[in-house]
Amino acid sequence: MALAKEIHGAYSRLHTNRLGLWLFFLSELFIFAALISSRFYLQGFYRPAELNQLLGLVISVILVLSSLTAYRAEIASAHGDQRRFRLNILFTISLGLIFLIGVVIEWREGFHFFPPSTGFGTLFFTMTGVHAFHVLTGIIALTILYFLGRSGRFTSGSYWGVEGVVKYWHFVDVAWVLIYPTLYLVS
Amino acid sequence: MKSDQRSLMRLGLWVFVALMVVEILEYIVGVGLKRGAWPFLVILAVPGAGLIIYYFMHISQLWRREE
Repeated sequence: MALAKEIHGAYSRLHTNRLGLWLFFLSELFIFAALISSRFYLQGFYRPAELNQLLGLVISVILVLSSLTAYRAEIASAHGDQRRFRLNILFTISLGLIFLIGVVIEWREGFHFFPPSTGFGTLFFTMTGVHAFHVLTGIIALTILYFLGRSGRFTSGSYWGVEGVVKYWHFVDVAWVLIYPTLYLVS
Repeated sequence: MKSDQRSLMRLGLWVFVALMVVEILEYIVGVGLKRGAWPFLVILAVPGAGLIIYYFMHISQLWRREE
């Protein structure tokens, strides 16, 4: 009876944690929805010809690939496979850093062709900047996760920390999947 | 690697392949169509985001009773 209560308590706690995290994602979604709608409200379908669409595609592929490695890290952690968990977290961090380098390259081109003082430039730098900040915070969280994992913090039965951070990383990917066509492809 | 772990890893790989197809199709539509690309982009981007939310973020855990 006591064991059943304990299991039920742990399940409820996990369920509450998940619900809280999804509510946080919902609140974050409003920020990105406001940015996406402001793009259409202020600039319509206008897109500068100098915008590097191919680089946009490359960094999108990198971010989607990082979602796969984050997913694999979570699955490995859920099955107690610590070596694969750490390896995939390292891959995810590396891909996140490569994505940020891609954004910096985009910004260098952006400052030249459509600086922040222009209408499109304001939107471009705000949207990619807010998103890049989320990527950066995700990388910091993944790094903390890596070191916690290395010290044996997570087991196959207790890995909420991994699940939460990986979900956050996927959310950052979802936001980009919507931002990329909005900024780079509509015309 | 356990068999259920392997099958989950394989599922993740298929989702990734589907997302790659979505991203590349979006690019082709965005570059190829000079006008009126947005309905096609919406049709591609929303299911792409849905794939991540359903398979990678496991949204169904929210209404599942037991683990």
